[in-house]
Amino acid sequence: MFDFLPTRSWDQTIGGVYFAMRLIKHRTELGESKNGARFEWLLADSDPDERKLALKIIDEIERSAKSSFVSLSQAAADKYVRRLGGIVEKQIRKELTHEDMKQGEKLLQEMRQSGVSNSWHLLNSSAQRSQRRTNSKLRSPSPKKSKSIQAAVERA
Amino acid sequence: MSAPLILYSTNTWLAYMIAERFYVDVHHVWCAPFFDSDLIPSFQNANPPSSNPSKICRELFEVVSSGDRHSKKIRDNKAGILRGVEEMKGAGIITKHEVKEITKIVERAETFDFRPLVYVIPYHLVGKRVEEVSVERRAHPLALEYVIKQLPRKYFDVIEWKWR
Repeated sequence: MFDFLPTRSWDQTIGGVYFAMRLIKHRTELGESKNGARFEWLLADSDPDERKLALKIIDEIERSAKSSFVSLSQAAADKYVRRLGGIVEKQIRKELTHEDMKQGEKLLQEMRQSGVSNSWHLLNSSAQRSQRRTNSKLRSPSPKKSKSIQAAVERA
Repeated sequence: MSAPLILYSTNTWLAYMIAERFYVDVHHVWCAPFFDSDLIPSFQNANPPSSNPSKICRELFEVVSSGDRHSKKIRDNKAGILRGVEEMKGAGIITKHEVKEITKIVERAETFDFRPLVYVIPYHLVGKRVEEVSVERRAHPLALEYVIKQLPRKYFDVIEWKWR
């Protein structure tokens, strides 16, 4: 099944598989229509080659399942998505050497160590800078300000 | 209907980190105005389960907990990441060398790297960047679906569960 996929270029395959998976995932929203506005929306970002390949994949699924893809059971849909994903994984492995895999591990390790950043900090970095300025002024008030604070404390 | 307060989007840790590292902190997200549309009365919302951030999150939790590296959810996510890579290459945002680096990362990723992260996006910060799906293209006329193709990291917060 899907014998035509390995003969395509890498970017065509990944695009076609991605859009076919997208159609399968959202199939229950399509009713009986394979040409409606929703169907077009799901393929909206595809280029002509990706679209053609995605539709070819869907045709092959329908031939194999002997029914429209929109009426596939969840189990059948999962089976096809897994199979398509398996083809992509196989093609990835074909493109990579043992050395590439080791480097992939290393890059992943680096990413795992860096963790998720905090958006509050990013959004408020300028506000935080001004807050830090205020804080530092509070921590070490000017001599004049110190004297007036001292005077105020004594008066109290 | 008035603009939502918050948009929610569930993504995997791996997709998040790739965007952070390779796409200069710019993320591509699908989002909804509710975290869990199942809890909203159906006359107010008719979002399909495939667009429900809470459901996507639960599914990813299950996959990560089961450790199933070949689950359809993970394969689906890998295809999504790799398609995004091709798009970014086409847009000139990443080089061929970076495409290969991301491919290596995706190949070596473990199930745990696909754990869910929930993005919490205040609408007022991103309103101009949000594309709303037109009524005739929605799964249901009352469904509310949004896509933000270029969402800078500083405009949203991330919720990550402690797993260990």
